[in-house]
Amino acid sequence: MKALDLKLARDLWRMRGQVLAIALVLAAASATFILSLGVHRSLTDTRDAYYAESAFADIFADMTRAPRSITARVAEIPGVRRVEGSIRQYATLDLPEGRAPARALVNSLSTTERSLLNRLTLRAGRLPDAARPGEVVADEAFVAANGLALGARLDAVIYGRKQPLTIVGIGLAPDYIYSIAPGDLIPDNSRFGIFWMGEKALEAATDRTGAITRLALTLERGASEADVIRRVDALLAPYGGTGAYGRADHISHAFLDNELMQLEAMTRVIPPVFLIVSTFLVYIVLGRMIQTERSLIGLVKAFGYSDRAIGWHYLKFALAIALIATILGSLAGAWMGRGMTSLYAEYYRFPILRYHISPAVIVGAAALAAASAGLGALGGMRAAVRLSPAVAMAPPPPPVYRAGPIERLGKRAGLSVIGHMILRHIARWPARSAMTVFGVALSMGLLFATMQFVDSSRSMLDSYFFRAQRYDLAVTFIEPRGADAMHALAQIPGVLRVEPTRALPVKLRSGSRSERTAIEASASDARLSAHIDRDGRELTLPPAGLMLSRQLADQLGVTPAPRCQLHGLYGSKIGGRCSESDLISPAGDLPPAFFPVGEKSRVDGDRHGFGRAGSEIHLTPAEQPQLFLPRGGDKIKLRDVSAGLFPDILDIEGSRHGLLAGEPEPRVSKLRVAQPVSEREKRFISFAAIPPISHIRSIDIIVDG
Amino acid sequence: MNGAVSDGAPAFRCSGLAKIYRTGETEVQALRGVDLVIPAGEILVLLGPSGSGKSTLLNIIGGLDRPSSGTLLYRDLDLTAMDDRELTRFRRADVGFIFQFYNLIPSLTAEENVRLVTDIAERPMNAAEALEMVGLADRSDHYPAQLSGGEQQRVAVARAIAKRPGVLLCDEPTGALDSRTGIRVLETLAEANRTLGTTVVLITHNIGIAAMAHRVFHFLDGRIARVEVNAAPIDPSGVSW
Ligand SMILES: Nc1ncnc2c1ncn2[C@@H]1O[C@H](COP(=O)(O)OP(=O)(O)OP(=O)(O)O)[C@@H](O)[C@H]1O
Ligand SMILES: [Mg+2]
Repeated sequence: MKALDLKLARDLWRMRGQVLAIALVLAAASATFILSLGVHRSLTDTRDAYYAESAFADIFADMTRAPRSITARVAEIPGVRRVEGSIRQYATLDLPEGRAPARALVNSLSTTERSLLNRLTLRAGRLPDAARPGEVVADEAFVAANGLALGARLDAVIYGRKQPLTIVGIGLAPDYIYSIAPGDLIPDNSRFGIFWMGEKALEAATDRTGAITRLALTLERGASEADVIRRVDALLAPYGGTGAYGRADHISHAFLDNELMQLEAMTRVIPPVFLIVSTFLVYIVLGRMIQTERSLIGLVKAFGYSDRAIGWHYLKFALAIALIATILGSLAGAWMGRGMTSLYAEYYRFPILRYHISPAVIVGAAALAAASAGLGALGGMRAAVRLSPAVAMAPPPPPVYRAGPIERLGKRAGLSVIGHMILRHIARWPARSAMTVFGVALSMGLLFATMQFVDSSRSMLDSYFFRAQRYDLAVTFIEPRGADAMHALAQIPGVLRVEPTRALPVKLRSGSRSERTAIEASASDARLSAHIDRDGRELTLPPAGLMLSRQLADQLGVTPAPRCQLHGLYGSKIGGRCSESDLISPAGDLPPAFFPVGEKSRVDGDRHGFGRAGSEIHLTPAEQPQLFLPRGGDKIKLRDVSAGLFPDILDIEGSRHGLLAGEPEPRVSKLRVAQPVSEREKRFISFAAIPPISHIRSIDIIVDG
Repeated sequence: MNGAVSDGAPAFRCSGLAKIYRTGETEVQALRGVDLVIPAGEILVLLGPSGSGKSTLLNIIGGLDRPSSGTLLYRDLDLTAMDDRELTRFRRADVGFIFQFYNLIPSLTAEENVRLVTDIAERPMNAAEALEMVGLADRSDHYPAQLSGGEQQRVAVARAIAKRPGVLLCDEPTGALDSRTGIRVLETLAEANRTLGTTVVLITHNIGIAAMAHRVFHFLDGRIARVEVNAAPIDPSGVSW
């Protein structure tokens, strides 16, 4: 090794504390870069390969019920390549004793021919036997989360009828890479499963012989998605179509896409901050080092080392830091990437999801680290190169100190000698001082920025669960129900308050902008679900008109005051088109924590048809898991409500949180209730009057035909 | 180009050499026209009061600095016409420097300090060989902090002679040393002059050292006031401190 390189190696060792500190900052940049880019690539590659292999569709459309023959007519639309129809049906599952009921989304599976689109990948077992109607394939995550195995038996309530099911296969499909139960905030594999059932069996179970509820199709290359969607909508309108949508609005695809975007944002935001900070650190450390090595630099120049050799020497110091950082960063990035991937494996169901870092990513990270350290070294290198060998032999002239304005202030404040030294030092090297301040400020910013994630998600959970969603249980019907259902629910002992809501999938259009979303209607005096604004205040719904979340209003370019027009609500009642209706949108200042209407529609958009939109009725639960039926008076279990109380019940969902204690209300009859989902602390809540369903007047939507 | 010849031909020739330092408003005339011939293979001593311009001259003839005016030749090379890169080459190939404060790199051992020079020289001697010449072969693994001042200066001498330079420029090499160690350093310089034929230019405030020189230049106020030729230079061991 050359003597000068030996000096470099020993300098690195002597300054190992500082070197390591800078390397760690730089390694943080490399690690996040490698992590986010690596995971991004792994996820994109896996997704694309899986989509291609399993023929993930381009356009999806849901409808109440259409004859299977509709697929032939859709296939004739120009630009459509392949079409496939299927049935999808939500079901309630009885899990083994002592467990709250779970939900499943049951998909039909063509038993006669291989599926064209959204192909199921069998992970274990076999496909259902057409001759045995109760056989199903269940998704891997649900099976694992519930400790089930092939051959497991479950009772399910499908379309209001109880039916025993046997799991004969375990599988995955590209349209359920991500799945979340309607209304849930985060996926829960143990409480929501995706099932596949033989086509004939599901037709029989749901009274839909020869009918379908969903279409999936792929497009020819270059076909216009918007055109095809328009034509599909026209075809499906008579069958309660809720509007076709592309991959961008497909819940699984959209969540995955969103994740990829977040990873991309992470790549763009976090590493640069670390890079800039380490540039400053290198600048400062190397600047100091060169100042103390002035005579040494002069000496080496006197010996005949060229300027370039000396510049290169100090650049190598910076590059050595970058090298250490790249090694540390790659290790940390790979390790975190593995962790992140296994986290993804919980949320995203891929046949394989392997984290691999491509060498190009590491080379990229190394280049960034080298560039940032090199940039920091530039100033010092220039100073070293500029030193003339003769000047470098003499000690540096004492710096010129002057009493600046700050110092004069300090003098008045009676600063000590040391205080003066500090002030003068700061004022003597203003650029260095400013850079130090800037670097520390950036690090603090990074700290705050990352810590606020925790706070904001906590605040979001708090406002969503504790402040906005106050009901204990939500019951969803297939058909909208009237006041009778409200009364029946109110009769159940332990039920304190029942409030109706309704959600309508719509496409809101303002000018040239449009958004697929859902309008949520509720009584103006509703208290079981609240709308909270950015400042935490509760908003009351306007007596008429529509309240938009700020985000949605921005997306649509709608300002609060003017009247805007709402065009073409999809899937109107029967064969009808919707007339335009004027909507006023007053200031809706909902923080993103309140699920913006747009998000909501993604979550359960395909559950509600416009004409036959489901109503949600919120109610509080009984203390015991037993409910008395108002009619027969038979004792039945909560999980049997769907079967016994309302044959067309779609879903019962327990909220994780109860009413807040001590809600003031007239006609109080205090009752002790516990939550049905978790055995949480018991609460005192109050009894309230049930508003008649006819009170839903907060939105005026005129439907013609 | 390097290598010493003791043919009596001049190593350096300069005439009208002037150097003006400008710092802000003030100007300092460090050299006011120096005419000088330095024969190759001799030992020369520069004497003179502080501030008379000795170091300035040494820096200029060593290619560390440039004169403000005048001509300067090293053998047949015109140093005033050289650009920075050529001056660097000249220093690398032909000049060995020794300074008052040793200037060893503290993080390198004695041998590595010598290698700092042999790494880039054209026909260097072995680092161990150079240390042998100054009698420090057994201390080659020691760091500067483990050596005495005299030993450090001898390492500096070894470092300067290791490249077999044509000329050794020494700015008060014994200025920080006591008489015994000082003489030891002077002996190594004389030895290099004798065995390698290196021209030695030596600045000192110690008039006794002049006795070992072939020629003595007396500096005064940026000029050479007087040149003494010494027909019989004595051995450094006889130098009276
Ligand atoms: N870099 C410089 N900038 C300004 N003036 C300088 C510089 N170097 C030397 N001088 C001035 O030039 C003059 C000659 O200095 P020089 O160092 O050559 O003297 P010297 O004879 O070596 O003195 P000493 O015996 O004290 O080392 C002095 O007045 C000195 O102040
Ligand atoms: Mg001097």
